[in-house]
Amino acid sequence: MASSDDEADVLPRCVSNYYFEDDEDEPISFSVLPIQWREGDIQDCVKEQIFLHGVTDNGLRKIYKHVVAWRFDLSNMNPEILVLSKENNWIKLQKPRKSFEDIIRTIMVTVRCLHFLKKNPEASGKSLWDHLSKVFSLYEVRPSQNDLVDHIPLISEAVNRDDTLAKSKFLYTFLKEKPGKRKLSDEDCKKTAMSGFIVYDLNEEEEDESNKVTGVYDHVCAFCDNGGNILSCEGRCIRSFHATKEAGAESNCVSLGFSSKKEVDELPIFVCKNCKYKQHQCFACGKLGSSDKFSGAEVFKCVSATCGYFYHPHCVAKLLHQENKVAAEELEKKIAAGGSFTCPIHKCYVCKRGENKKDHQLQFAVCRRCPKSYHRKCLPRKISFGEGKGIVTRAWEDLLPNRILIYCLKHEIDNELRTPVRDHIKFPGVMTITEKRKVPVKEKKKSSGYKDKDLSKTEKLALDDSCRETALQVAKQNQKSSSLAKLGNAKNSKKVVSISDISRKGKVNDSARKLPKENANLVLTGLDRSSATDENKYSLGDRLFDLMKRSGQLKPTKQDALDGNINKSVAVKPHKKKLKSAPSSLDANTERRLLTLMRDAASSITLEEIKEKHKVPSSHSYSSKNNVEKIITIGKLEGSVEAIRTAFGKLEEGCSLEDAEAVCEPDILRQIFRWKNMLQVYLAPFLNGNRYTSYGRHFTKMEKIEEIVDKLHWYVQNNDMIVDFCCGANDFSILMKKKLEETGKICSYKNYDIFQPKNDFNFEKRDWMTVQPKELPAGSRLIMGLNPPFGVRASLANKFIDKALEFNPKLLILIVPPETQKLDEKKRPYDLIWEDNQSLSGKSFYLPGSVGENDKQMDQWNSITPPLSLWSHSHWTAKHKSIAEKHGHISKQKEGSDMEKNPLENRIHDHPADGHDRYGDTSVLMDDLSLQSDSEKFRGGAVVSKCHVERSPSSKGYKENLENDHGKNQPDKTSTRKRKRDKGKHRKRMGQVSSEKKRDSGKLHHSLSSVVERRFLSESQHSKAREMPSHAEIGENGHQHLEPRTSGSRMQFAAGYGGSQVNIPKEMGRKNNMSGNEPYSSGTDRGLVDGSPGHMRDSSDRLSYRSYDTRVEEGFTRDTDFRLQGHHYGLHDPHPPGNNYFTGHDGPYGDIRSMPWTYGHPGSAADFSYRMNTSAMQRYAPQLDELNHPRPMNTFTSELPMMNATDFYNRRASQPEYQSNRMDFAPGPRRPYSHQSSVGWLNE
Amino acid sequence: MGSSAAQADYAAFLEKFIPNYMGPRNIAECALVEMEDVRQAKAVLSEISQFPFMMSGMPRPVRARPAQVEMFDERPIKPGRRIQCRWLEENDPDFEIAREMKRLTNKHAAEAAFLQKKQLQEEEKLAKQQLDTLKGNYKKYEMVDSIMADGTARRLARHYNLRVAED
Repeated sequence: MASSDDEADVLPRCVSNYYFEDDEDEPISFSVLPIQWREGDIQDCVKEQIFLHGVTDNGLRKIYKHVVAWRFDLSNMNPEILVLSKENNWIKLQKPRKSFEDIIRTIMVTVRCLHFLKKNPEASGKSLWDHLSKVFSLYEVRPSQNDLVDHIPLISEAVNRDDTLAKSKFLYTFLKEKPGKRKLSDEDCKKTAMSGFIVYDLNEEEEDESNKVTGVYDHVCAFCDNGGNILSCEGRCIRSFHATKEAGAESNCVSLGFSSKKEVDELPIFVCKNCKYKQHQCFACGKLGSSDKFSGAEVFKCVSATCGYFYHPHCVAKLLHQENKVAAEELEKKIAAGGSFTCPIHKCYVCKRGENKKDHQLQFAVCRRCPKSYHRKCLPRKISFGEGKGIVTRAWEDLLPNRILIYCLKHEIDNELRTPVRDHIKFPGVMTITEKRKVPVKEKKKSSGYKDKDLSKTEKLALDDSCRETALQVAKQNQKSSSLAKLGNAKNSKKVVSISDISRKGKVNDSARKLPKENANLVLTGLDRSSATDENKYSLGDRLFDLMKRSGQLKPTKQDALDGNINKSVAVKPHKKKLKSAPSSLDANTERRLLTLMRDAASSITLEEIKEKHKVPSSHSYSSKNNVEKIITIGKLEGSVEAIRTAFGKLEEGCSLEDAEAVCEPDILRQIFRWKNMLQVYLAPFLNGNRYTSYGRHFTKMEKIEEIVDKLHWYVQNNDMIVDFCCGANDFSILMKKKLEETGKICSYKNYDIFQPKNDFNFEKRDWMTVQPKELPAGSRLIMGLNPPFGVRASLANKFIDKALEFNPKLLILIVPPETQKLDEKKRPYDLIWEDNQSLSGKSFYLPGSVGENDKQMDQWNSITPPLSLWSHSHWTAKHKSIAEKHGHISKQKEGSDMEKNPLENRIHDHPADGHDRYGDTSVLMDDLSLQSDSEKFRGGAVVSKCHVERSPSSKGYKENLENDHGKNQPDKTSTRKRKRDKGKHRKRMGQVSSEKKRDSGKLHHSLSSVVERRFLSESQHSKAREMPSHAEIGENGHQHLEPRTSGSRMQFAAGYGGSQVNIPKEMGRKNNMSGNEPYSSGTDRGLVDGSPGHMRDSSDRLSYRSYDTRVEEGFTRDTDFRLQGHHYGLHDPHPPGNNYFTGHDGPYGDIRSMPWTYGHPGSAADFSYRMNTSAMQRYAPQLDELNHPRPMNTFTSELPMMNATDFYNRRASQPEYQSNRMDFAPGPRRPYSHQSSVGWLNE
Repeated sequence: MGSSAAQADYAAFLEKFIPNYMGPRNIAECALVEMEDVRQAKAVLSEISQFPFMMSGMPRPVRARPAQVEMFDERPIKPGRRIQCRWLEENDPDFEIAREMKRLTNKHAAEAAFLQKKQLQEEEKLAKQQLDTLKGNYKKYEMVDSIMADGTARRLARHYNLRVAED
């Protein structure tokens, strides 16, 4: 490069951090350029102009080139990609700009792929993809065939031109089958991307939970000790069973005997017979006994949370104290009296120590047939995992969580079942049957138990009954079971049974079905009321209704009794209408027919269909129903709760941690907390009812949206598209449109929500998650927002944001809970422009459709304020930041909390007075800073400047108004306008107006380099310029004072500012102003003044004003305020500038000390009045409290002496701002100044 | 005020209730709700068919369908149609026909009443089942909450050195 340094136009050879844009500044892939295969062989088919941006010379130089073609070179270690600039110079592309990577990803993959295949033509698809995913490991998306599909023409061309590539089998097959593949792969990709995405966001937590949940309880079938699709008992036994034969097929399980999975699914809850009748088996002796704690329990449950076994006190006591009979008897009594115990399972049979699931060696092997456990290390050899010669497998891992499932040596393993004989479970209600069948069962068992089928049949029948019974609503009961089960309401069951018989047998059905057809209409009408009204109204409906009415009139009191009434009306009929043949009741046949029809109709509706019909929006798609209902069973919960209580009790009594953990493992406890959360979420609609009226939605209030719009519209450019991905009532777009049209921007809008709002301005009823990137314009035109649903722990918000990020919008404005993942932590980070975590505090939201006690829309009070934040695509960050600074959006965050409270633009606009407050704040801040090192001062300066910035909008607005006024000599107008603003709702418009003016003025003034600075400067210039004349007028005192200081130049002033930090500064400011004006005039400031001289000359009169005004921007708002205030408040009349100045100046000089106060005061006073007038009062209230209170005291006192001080006040107020301006200019020197002046003050 | 999101957001005008001729007063009834325009009406229809109609966190069985002339009893008579009444003597040829019609009407009424009864039973059963489920789950919640509320769980967690997320 060195050699070419002297050339005027250095031709870059390589470029990094590059990206390409088309003529519309849209990022675009270079692959749209024509490719050059050989030198000089370029097809001219570029439709668009494409420009390369990037840096070259090791990042020293930026380039911007029009490019016309590209080519790649596969011969090196790494593939090279070059683009041809218009000057016919090949530029090598190195590293793309991060945000651009995605756009060129596919072409990069393709080139890499070709490169790899050129090197290894024999490579298989797998090795290729492995290689590529390594290379592209930093990308979110794994490279896949899909990426190649986009560039098939390129690949085939490459294959044609390159012999080595032509040899590649992979490419050959790929090109050959491309058409079919393409679709497939597309879909695949989408699917995986989608599902992965959802899983990541929605279910991560929950899956996690359910995994853990299953980690505590065993989920193996109590019959066959195998896992699979099992059904948990809701009761205390916490067992699980295979519900159907199919589910237990693998282990040949007898199962609960349900006929189909559907039947199982329809059970609301399953409670096994043991739990239902509170008759449990003693795990030691196997006999059934009552476990009902409230009426003579015989067996008691082990207190351990995960243990569902019951014992006779006698049995367990004997086991626990095998040698010590006395202790055993004692324990027995204790247990019988209700004392808690842990069963022998929880101690190793060999070493008597407890379990530790985390230590592999100390994990338990638990016998499923008797209360015996061994540590893994203590497990007898004969209980073996593997099967060898003559060895029977008695132990299995992985069936129980962190435990080994064993059958101890006491139990003989059945060769066929590979488990001990499965006769260990007894259900109480089944007793009779099992007893009846006992003989055959036993026989079969003896015959080596293989005839499992028969055995299972008998058992199945028994179980059948029991389960059926629990599922009373399942109408399909066969006679046997119903009779055995002794169903309560005999009548009903009879009818049901008879019908079900018919249907079951199907043969009889014919007769039944023929009849229905004739009357199908009628019955259907019965089911469907509205259609009934259509068809039968006249004949049947009317009459019935009349009858009803009459009977109602006759016996009005009875009207409420449902069934009674029907009967009555029917009964009444014959008398009233004298219908001879009216059948008061239907014959059995008809009834049966009707019931059949009903059942048919009912069975024609399936749950699947309903679900299909009610497509849940993705934001609601996750339901914890299964977790809550199937996993959190009452039995487990009771056990856990009891165990926790016991464990805690034990610890309190001084037992060891180990004992406590035997009762309640830490996992149980952890799980309880998790369960609580799950239940809370699941029951949320019931726990906090009204909030859920509209599906948990909350809308941002109109006022707040207006504020947001006011703030946001600066960032919007012509032609942008505003996308509200969850538009709620659709206010945002509408307001945005209004605002933007006022400011002369034309944009498009798109609003999505799952519910149609009343106002469907550009609305599409659509689940945001289903919107595809292609459907919206390019990211550079997109601005997205605003208030997504939050979800539990912001899960939904995250989901919505992630989806929005797929579109690469240039701006995202978000109201999301604080715990939402920040956008700068995303894979493709966005930059935060500003964040405002105050403006949406309190009642910023409402619950649509929810009506409170007084029929008023319910507000939602945030306990945690969701911050409002603006995020920019990294591409445009700089631009947006500068806008933010220009309009004072940024300052808040950086300054203290006080500042944060300050507000959106509107407020600023509305309240010039705010400036004061802020000023106060800033100055306070300054104090701390100023005394420290330069750099800090600098910061201080920065802060101040920011303050300015904030103010500047308002101040400018004011200024401008003022200026305008000045120009037109219509101060009153402005003042009146402002009043309006103050009054409140109209503020915004006013603000707009002013802001517009601002702009204009801004333009005029802009002469300095950085936008931000410009503003300040310009403002300051104005003020200065104007002040200057005024100063001149001001006179000697001012001069004198000034001179010493002035000599210092503004620097000093600035310093003064920095130093002035506290209230003092204000005085200083005063002085400074006074003095400052001169120095400025003297010329130090000229540079600054550049833009403004014209203004200065404009009107000396105004100058004074303006100085105020300018200030406004800085300080001078005050003047404006001044006037404004004067006007508004009526306190001050707009005085001729001269007076003001004089007074103002004098004041400062004379009462330097008072000045500071005054300053503070004036500001505060003004503020007060201001606030008083404005509705915004409340917002500011906190500020007022903090800042102003001290001052007001002073101010008032000080004011009095001051006399007509209103003006002064204003000025003073403005001064500080002024000072701040200076600050900007000369951060360094402050110290001395501040020290000098401020010290004195400070001491005071 | 209707509270499904859809309805809340619309200026919906409840025009009147339409009596349900199927039975006594306290069964489901229809109401005529007027929307501003066709588009809104369609939106409401789809909204209600797609999402449960929520009131105070409870889904309610509400259906919406477009109004039809036949739904209103005060609709004008179909042009050209007149209903005539006359007394039939026993020897009138139409007498038997009329009687048959009457019989049929009564039969229909009885059948409808029967179905209505069954339907109500079904509904009640379903409601009970749902209530039971809810109660069950709420019981679970209370149970968990009880040990949370008295601090047992939290203190035990401290014993175990567990870090438990505060809620």
